[in-house]
Amino acid sequence: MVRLEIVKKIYEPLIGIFGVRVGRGMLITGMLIVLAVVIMAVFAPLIAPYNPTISAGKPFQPPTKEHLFGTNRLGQDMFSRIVYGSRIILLVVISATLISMSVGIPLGLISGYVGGKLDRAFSMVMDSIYAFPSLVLAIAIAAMLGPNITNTALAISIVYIPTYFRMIRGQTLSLKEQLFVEAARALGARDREIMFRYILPNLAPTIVVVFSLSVADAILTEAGLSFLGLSVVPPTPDWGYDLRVGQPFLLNGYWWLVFFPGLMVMLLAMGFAFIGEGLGERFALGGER
Amino acid sequence: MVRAGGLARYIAIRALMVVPTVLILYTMVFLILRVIPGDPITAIVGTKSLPPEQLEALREAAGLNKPYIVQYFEYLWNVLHGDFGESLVIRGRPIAADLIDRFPATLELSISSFIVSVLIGLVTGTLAASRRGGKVDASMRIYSVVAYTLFIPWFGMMLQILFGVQLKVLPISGRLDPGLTIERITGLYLIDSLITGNIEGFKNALAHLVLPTITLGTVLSGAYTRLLRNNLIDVLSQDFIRAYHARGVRGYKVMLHAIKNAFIPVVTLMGLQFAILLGGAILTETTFSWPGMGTYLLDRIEYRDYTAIQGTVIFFALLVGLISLVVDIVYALLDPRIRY
Repeated sequence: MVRLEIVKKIYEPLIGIFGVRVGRGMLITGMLIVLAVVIMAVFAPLIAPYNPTISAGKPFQPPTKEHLFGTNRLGQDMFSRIVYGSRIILLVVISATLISMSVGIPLGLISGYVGGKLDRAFSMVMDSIYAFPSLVLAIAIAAMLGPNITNTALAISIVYIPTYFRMIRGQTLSLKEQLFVEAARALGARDREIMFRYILPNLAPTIVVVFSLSVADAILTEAGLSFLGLSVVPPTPDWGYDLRVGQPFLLNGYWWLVFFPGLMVMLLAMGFAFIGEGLGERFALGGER
Repeated sequence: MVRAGGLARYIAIRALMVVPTVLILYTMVFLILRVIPGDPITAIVGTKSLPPEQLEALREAAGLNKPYIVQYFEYLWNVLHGDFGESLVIRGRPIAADLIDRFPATLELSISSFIVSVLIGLVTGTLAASRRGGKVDASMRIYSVVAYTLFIPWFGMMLQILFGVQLKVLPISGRLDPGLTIERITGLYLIDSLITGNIEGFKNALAHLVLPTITLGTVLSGAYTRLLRNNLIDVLSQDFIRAYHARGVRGYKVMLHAIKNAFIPVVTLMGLQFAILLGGAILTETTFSWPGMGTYLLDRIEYRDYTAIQGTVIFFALLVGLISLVVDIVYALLDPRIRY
């Protein structure tokens, strides 16, 4: 298909040009960003100076020594909200991605390996969902389920199943023609064994790259859903939600209400995207998103 | 193999292939809206307690009192005839009318953002390809990742703070200043104001379009940067480029020829990007209070207007099918090798 070729072309690894250096820089930068956010999430009670859900001073204070990122409408400390907010976004996005993986990977593996009518039916459904705007799909699911973080995770996980399915199916198609698979079959390995013990381990690099890229994407989707008011309910500290409640005060010049939460969303997504980019180049394969 | 009628045949087959896609998406939306636990009518009513007759009336208005299978085909039949049902909140208001009312705003934003993203992609991609392997190339690669991960509401708000609040040069919300009107012909303000000779309206609508367009256009541009760079590098290594050089054609003219050849796949990417564009449009519309399909959908969700949510999402599905068909046709027109 022409489309697949083009997607490959976009994410074509650039090894041997200047790539290795840039890719390594991206990989390291990305890992540092993600590590910093993970540390922030794990040690949130030690890092955050205030309780994120109760008032810590006068409302609308600009950034000062006491309140590094200022305070919001309710006098809550923005820095503490951001520190605790990293927990919500990581929890939702990682659990959602794990669900998509555990559905998308086996389906893609079976579909690509078995082939035939089953493959055609699966592919058609997955391609259709893939073509549909993921945010609209997530909005529809989240709106029907109601706003809470479990439902957000569920909505996001459904959206990213086709991403894994397509990538894994494509790789399985080419791997199953290789000699080691034929050798395994000659040794009397069963189909299930071939799929999960011979082909699956060879997919690990692909899975890692697709994981990083889809997490980057899912972060933007999660933050987007909460910005639209379809994810968490107050007073949960959440980056996208804080952006939403901060926006009406832009005209008052209270820039710190939106600047920091949005910057964090972008940094975290960028961190994962850099990791995916850097690893994709290392493994000499194109990541698709 | 090229033969007479090849193009018509290709278009016909493509059109047929859109049918299953749209059906699958319709089924999926139907399932999401029906099977997910919780009765939509109870959700609309919320904590209010209504007498059972009224609940039944609401259920009937939403078409929810019939068996699922009947609902499925009845609604499909209606949608194919342009009937998206009636709003549950504003009783008697056809949803199709709302969609027609809101769609041009989203279309205008999408087209302008698309143009901006391709222009940015063209400049950055050409720069990267012509300085291949250098610092410029490396920066453009980083740019393409960063642009993709820009969080639309945040980027939009930063532009609002800079150009709307600090410099006060551009409006930060809506499509038009209150008090101004543009006679509706196509619903695209820029075109309508030009047709009716409304220069003031045109200027105002254009000013309102600038920030949302830059926001969405920048986010979408990263993929074009990459695609154009890689295509250009391919094209620049081909024989006909060497022939131009050999004949002494100037460097920038050779580049123009190369760009023309590297551009065709952009059409396909446009189709792939369309889903991202629509998703991004919802966030952009919300950030800039842009009265399009995205803000309409969220507004209806707030009122729990079940039939309107259903209609809007189905409309998105039809749009996706239609765009993929259009993209395939344009691609075939540009590249005569693509035929069945």
